[in-house]
Amino acid sequence: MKPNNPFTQIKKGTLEYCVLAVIARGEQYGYEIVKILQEQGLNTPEGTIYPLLARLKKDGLVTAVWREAESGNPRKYYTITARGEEALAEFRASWSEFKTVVDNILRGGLD
Amino acid sequence: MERKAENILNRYLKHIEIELESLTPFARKEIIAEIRSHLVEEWQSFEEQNEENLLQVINNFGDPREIAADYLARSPEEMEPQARASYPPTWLVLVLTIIFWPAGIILAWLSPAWRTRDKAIATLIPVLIPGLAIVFILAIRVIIGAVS
Repeated sequence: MKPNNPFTQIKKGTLEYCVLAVIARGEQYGYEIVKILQEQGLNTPEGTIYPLLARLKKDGLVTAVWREAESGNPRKYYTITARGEEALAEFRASWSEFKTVVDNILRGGLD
Repeated sequence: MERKAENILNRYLKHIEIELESLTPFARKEIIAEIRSHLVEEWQSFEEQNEENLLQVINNFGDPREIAADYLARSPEEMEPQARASYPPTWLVLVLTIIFWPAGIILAWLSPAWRTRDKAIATLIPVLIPGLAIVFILAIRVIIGAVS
């Protein structure tokens, strides 16, 4: 996708909350989060979600813990915090409002 | 893991690590460990692991510079103190302290690159050295006096 594509910017702004929403379903690790997002049709270079996870952790929206998988590969598991749940609920409300406004304008119903 | 594949993986991770130079060693190590874990898991999802699909995994992950830039843009607080604004430079502080002590010390206290402990040491050195020298000379005099 070209950087000037309008969806690149929208994706950038919403990806953080999509990741948070995936973690809210239960403890997840990075690889699994990427796969879930891809299954849902949200394709980004896989590396982009890791800096974002670091940010969520620093902001106290998630916590992380290292655990070894059966294969011997260590995984970093993320869990949502109460603050994360709050931020996600706020975003859901704002997004829903924003979506309604944009849909209405796009439909031409400027009332 | 096959040696050649291990080299490919390490080279890619090293590239990201170098770009993350301004972060603390701890933050850097943590990031690299997590990325390695992802790449290994993705590679293991192939029926057969070869160099070709490892390169494909790396390619899907993204450009090391862009990934590192994303980390740096998102975590300025994990940077090493000297990577932040470090005016005045340490060498200038040292030179000025030697030539003209008050100017050097004022600059040292203004500098974010110096820790408080270092600032205190730098401030005390010009006081302590002449002080110790006087004590030393007096002690020698006393000893000489006692001998003669």
